[in-house]
Amino acid sequence: MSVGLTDYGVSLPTYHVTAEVYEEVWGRFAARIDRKTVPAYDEDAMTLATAAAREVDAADAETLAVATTTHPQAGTLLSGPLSRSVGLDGPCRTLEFGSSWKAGLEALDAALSFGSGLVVASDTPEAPSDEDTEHILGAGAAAFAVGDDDPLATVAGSAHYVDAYLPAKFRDGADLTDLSLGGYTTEGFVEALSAVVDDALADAGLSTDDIDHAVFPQDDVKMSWRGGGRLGFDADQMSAGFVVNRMGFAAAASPLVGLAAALDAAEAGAHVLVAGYGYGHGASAFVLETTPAIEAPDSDAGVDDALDATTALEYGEFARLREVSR
Amino acid sequence: MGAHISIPMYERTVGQRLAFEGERCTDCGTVAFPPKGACPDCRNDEFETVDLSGTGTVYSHTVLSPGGAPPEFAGQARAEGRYVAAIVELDEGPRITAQLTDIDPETVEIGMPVSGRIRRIYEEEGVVRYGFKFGPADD
Repeated sequence: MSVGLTDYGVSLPTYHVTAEVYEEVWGRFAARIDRKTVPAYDEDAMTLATAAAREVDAADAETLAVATTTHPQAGTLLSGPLSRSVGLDGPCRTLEFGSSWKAGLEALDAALSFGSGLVVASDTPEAPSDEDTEHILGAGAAAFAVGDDDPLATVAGSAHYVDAYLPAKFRDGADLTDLSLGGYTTEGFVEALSAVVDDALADAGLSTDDIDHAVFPQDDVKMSWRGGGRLGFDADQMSAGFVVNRMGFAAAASPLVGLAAALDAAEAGAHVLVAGYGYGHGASAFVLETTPAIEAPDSDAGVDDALDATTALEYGEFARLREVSR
Repeated sequence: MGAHISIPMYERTVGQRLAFEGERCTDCGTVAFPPKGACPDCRNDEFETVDLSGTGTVYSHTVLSPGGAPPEFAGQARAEGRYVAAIVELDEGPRITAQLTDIDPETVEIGMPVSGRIRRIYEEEGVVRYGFKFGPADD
């Protein structure tokens, strides 16, 4: 039996703020999305990771692969409290990724390479509230069980790419800095993404037309959407996994929450492509093929419902929460 | 900070803060959570560890306004306003005190089903303390 994803789940924070709310205060909303999620005072990357992992059946996992760029307790293992809270404490290998936003794909790659494990990507990126960079930043988490026991989707192909390309976006302390280099940023993004998409498709023996759902990094709506277009994908292929419209950008977790949304939409025998990009720069892509198990009633992670279930905040409430939490 | 809980003290109870590890009396079967020195029912001092379901019902509750929040929860109350503290009766019997979350304080009712979820409780000595709060039970 081939290795693949046997279960998956997501967790989103409690709140959201809408584009309209931003426009009332700042005159504009720079993110080109409808709304973005906001963690409550008692939520962080660890609590979201736990909530996502608890949605997944991975009781026998021997590898825990975790991805976050916003570890609440820097310099320690997020796997520690996470493992205890989901019952994986004890003889379990842990791997933690978080240098770039490609970390979610790296965690997935690790678990697939080992042939089993629990993958959890969770992130709550931040930036100063008076900068446009902050507008798109949301939060979320996704978890995937990897194994060979009746998988919902198996790996049909994969590819990786790395090169030197000076980053237009990076983290300065806790805060994201975006140098807003426009075309320069897009060129690097498309270069790395096209390399891994072409190679992953070749590895799978497929063409762009064979892909039912394509999930790309979503730190910039225009760049992601047009970049996907330049790689040969249309709106029908990119819509299901384009969770940024209601979640915002959840850093390393975004491609995996997008993958979960795409799997929710996928029928048996569908091909799903997921790609991650890290500034600096590099990319990874996987092509998955769904199995009949994807159509079981309980396989759905309910990403659409989760995106609808968050509670709206007025800007004042959001500002107060942010000010006290940071 | 109000009630100081040192890192070693916190660690000793981590099985009750990150998981629902309780104890069952080997004599009469009574479940204790958190673990006790002696069975609350028959005073036997031998137990076996049991994983509890983490679900229960609201036994009693109260709403704390920001001015009434103890210091460790002052930040939370400043950020999000009043919150609910409840006594939750776990399905296995024990009653424990915990905050309710993901719920409008106006809609809390005695007897409503709730389930535990991990949240940041507070930060002390630079260390984030996680633990359970309860919210509306999953369907």
